[in-house]
Amino acid sequence: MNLRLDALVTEKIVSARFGDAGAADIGGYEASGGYRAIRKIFGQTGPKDVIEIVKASGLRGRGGAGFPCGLKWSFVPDMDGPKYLAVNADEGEPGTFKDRELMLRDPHQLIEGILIACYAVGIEKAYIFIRGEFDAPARSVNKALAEAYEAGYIGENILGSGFSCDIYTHMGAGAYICGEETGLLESLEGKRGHPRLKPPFPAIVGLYGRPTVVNNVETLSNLSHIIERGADWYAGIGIDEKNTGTRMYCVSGHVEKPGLYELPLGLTLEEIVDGHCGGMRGGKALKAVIPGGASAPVLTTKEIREDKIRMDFDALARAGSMGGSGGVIVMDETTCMVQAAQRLALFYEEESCGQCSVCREGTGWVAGIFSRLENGRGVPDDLGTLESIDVNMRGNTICVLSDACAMMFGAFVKKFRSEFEAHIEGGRCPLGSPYPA
Amino acid sequence: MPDAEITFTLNRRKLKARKDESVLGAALRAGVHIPHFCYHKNLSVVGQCRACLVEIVDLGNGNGLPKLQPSCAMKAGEGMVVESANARVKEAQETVFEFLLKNHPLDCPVCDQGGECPLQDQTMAFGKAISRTHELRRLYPEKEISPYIKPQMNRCVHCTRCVRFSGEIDGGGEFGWAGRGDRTEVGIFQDLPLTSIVSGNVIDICPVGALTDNKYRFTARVWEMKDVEGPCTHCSVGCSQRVWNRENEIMRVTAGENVEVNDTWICDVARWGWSGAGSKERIDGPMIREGGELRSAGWDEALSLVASRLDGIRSESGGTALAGLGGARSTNEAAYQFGALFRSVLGTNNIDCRVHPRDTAQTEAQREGLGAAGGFGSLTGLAEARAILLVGSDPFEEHPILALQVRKAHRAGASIVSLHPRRIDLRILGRMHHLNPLPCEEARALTALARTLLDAGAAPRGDGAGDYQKALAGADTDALCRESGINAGGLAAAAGALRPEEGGVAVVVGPGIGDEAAAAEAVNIALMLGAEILFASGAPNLQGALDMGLHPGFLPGGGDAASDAARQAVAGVWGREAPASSCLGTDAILEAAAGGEIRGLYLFGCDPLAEHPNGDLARRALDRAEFVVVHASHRSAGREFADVVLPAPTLYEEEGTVTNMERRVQRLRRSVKPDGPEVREASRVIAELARLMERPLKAQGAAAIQAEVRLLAEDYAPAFGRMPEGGARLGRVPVGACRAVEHALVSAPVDGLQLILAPTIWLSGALIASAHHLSGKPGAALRLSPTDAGRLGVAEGMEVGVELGGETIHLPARVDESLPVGVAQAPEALPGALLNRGGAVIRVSPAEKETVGA
Repeated sequence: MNLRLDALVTEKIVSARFGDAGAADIGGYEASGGYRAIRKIFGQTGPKDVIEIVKASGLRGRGGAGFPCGLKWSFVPDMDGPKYLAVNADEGEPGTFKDRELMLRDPHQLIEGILIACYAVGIEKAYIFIRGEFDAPARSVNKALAEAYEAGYIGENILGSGFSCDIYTHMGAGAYICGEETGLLESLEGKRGHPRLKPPFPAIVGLYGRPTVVNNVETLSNLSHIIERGADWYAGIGIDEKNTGTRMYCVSGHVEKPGLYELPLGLTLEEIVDGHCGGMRGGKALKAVIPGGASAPVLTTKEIREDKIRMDFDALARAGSMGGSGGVIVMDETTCMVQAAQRLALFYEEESCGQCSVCREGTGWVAGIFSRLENGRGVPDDLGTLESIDVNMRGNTICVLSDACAMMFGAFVKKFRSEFEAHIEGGRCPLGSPYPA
Repeated sequence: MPDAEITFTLNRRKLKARKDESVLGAALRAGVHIPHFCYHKNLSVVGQCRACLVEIVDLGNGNGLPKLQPSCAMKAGEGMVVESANARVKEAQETVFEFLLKNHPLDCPVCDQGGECPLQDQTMAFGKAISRTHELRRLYPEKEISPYIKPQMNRCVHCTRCVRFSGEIDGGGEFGWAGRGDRTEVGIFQDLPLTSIVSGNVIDICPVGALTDNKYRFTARVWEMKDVEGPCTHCSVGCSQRVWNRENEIMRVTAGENVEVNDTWICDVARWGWSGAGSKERIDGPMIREGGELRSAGWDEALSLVASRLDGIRSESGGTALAGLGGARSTNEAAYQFGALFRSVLGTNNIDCRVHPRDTAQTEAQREGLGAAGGFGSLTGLAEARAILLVGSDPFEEHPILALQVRKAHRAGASIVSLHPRRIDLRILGRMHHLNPLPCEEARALTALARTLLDAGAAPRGDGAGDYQKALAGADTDALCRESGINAGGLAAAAGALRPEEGGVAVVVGPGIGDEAAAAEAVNIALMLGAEILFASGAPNLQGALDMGLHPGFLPGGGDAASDAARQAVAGVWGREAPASSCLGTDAILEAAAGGEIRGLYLFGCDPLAEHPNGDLARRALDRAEFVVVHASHRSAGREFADVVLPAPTLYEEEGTVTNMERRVQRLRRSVKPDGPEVREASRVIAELARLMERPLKAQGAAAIQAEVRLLAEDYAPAFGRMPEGGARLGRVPVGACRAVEHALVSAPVDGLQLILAPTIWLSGALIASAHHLSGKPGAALRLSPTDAGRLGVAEGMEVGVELGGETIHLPARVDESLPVGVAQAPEALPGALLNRGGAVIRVSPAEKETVGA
């Protein structure tokens, strides 16, 4: 493997304007170089060429799956009739809070990214699906949209280029599953947020049955910079050519300085925790880290301190976890892993949409078992049962919520088995149970 | 099978699949069972239950798929290799069943679904016999949703078949689901009672005991019963149904399957209407009037009396002094014998199965325009039509499964045009055009439509097409619109939706059409559009009875009674003369009876008092006639004028054939024997009368009758002998001739409300009226527009007095936005037949409140 350690430069890209309170206004955004990217390409660069630029930048989706952005766009068929962009701003993955800040602090950067994506794919209507709880970010985006319409950056014949595009916001109603791209499309159409059977994929049959691109807020926020500074510049950041650019890491939990960190892809988790986040809170020992939002399998101290696991898409995948949404949840030695798993299991039980038998019943079953375990009413068979449910919940459902739940609890049971056994043998949680069964 | 058939391999066996067919669908057709719950062949595919997971070893391109795939959502492809029973798939299936049973109560011993439960059966076949749960099972609050359906949602496996049925097929969308995850709850909106007329289908499709038949509940186990599949005979659609009996008692009815008629759906009247067969309103033995009172009598006595009186009148006054009415609610075989009795034994053509004048008007229009009784459309053609014109038809009220076929066409992209005084509700959005003429002005509205279609390029057909075209070209569309009260813009849009140049149109004429001009103009339009035309008439076997010759002018097989050649042909088969004289239809028969010229009346399964809109005429006719025979299964008003009452079996108890509105002949098999030994097969009773008159009918027994029918009505040949499953549809060459219609005078503006009558399926007929299981249906009401209600000071549910011709009856009021201003609607065949005058002007006023108590 060819690691580019020298490419791990600490350069802020999407959060560069976070310190500038005026950047959320159109004047401040333009003053700091905003809306230059669309001027550069609209009417100058062909849409296909824009896709090539994005492909060459190596930009991968920042929502969870890490799918190459340009490649996703190129799946959209070249056909007449409407196509849509759905912006996934339903940031619901526990431990994740980057899109919230990107919308709140730099909404025009998102809008410019949307315009670039729409231009590249030939889309004239974009919908921003914003998590229902995101009141302030939604107000920020709506204000920015009004300003951008006023300034002629959105609407008919933008900047005289002949390209027209409208952007709308839509507030979600509080379901995690609407962050799943086809659940999001159903919800946008006014239905229950039920993920759709795939194929067909949204690129072919998406919103209102039309070809649709679904992109995450952070992904789109990168686009203006890639256009302005070039694919080579972007591709030059990051640990290797498949993990380029920066990520917004949302660090929460037992570190001295939790917060949002934009860092190049491929730093080690240890560097992030000990370096950027100031080390463990109160000098306590590290026990575990969830590296990419609740669904990313938990990592142990050994994996972090001895194996020096890196926080890029592929290194995490090789370690059996995933980069996910960038939510880094750090747990120290005082954390009960059964309790942590129980809390997350309750989340999946709550958020399963309920359509697939496997997920509907599986998430509830798992939550029930963890609640019993944590409350001292576990039985020796439970761990074996959990291990088999872990297998049975994978790969057999319409969407991956079931897999996500299984990945989560499977890792907890496998990597911290002794804590589970202690709960069963001792008949209680050594640390006490805050969530009664 | 179409040429677009593909071959794939399932479990190392080669199978054929239709184009776009799923692996699961093809497997089930081939008899390979892949477990499934949410999949239903007549509903959309959702892939939710995950029980039908299979391994795609090869997509047909050398590559397999890494994940197991739901075979319901996986289209079978050429060369595809699929495993549904290997170790990997079996393990996945076992896990799905474990999840499904996680919260399912194992209360099979007290669950009605036990023994016919897909969850039970498939768990035995595909599940594991262990339970690993230590958690409590899910409990939902107990709820009531309908008098018919018992919800036990703790048993629900969330397959959502009921949700999809009500959203896609029924269209009312009354079922839905609330909550998320394992708290997801299937139910109906705010637990209001279900209103759908086809609600019971959710019982059939529920794969567990979550939605069961409340009327059948705890009465029998499936293995104790036998089921008899055959056509339903409550209306003229002829849906396939399964009648389940135990020890000669009907326990329940479920839907049968006939892809050309009803797919797998039946209406609630079919599902629970059978309860009238066991009602105390049944006529359980022969009766004779003596000293003004009816008394029980033996068959010999009663039949001898009927034979001697009818034969006596014949020898005194000739056959023209006798008449027979009815037969449209009997088997073809009984109808044929009834006709033969009157024509060949009693020597009269005074015989008519069309008791209601609208049936007469429609048949005469058919006879004139199409040269035969009946249309030449099919229900399949309707479901596949590109555009449908509904004329005087409100299918959900009159023929619920016809409504589902119209909806099916609409789902496939068809446009619907409805011409009806009311804005009928098919629960569809888009591609629906309403033309709302004033009551009794349908003919003018249709002429306006015909003229618009002519301008759009539709060509009149048949002899006299030129005259018709000339007459039509002279029609003033604007004046017709104005006089009939339809909107000219709406007319243009409706004509545009019918697009004459593209074909693929189906026309349905419903019971809302009462005058011959309107029916004739509907025929003209169908001919101009090259459309299929269906006559959705009220009586279940009207078409069959007409084909069997229960029409004063038609002999069996449709021969003209006035034609010597046709009469000779019939005489050759009967071995006896067919009469040339006197051809009176129902109205003329009633007039003649009221005037004393007709002395003997035989009412076979009909009651003019209840069915004829001129109840006063019917009463005078029955009163004046010297000798009245009532041969029926249930008591009704006409019985008070009967001199002899003969019990008849219901069609649950008869063998024979019936013919539906599309001329599909289906075999009726006896589900149960009639209750009591005194009820005899109707055709045998009629034959016995002929024997007692010493002029026996030549054909004795069903086989002999059918052999005679084949000689006279050649097109019935495929219907007898080895009949195809699902019945034999007797095709008819779509020929006919357009002819100009004459419009009645434009009626003056009315002072009061104009009444339209709604022939609702569940209020029609003595059998349904006495069906105690149907008690939960909404009662009779007067519907009127919000504007009229406001003007008259009438509120929803308020009792109103309805005055017509000096008589007043009281009904609860319903405020209904589908009614135009100035029009009110009441159900047809209400007690008090004076109301049965469509188009009549009524006066409505809030009933005076009686003060209760001191």
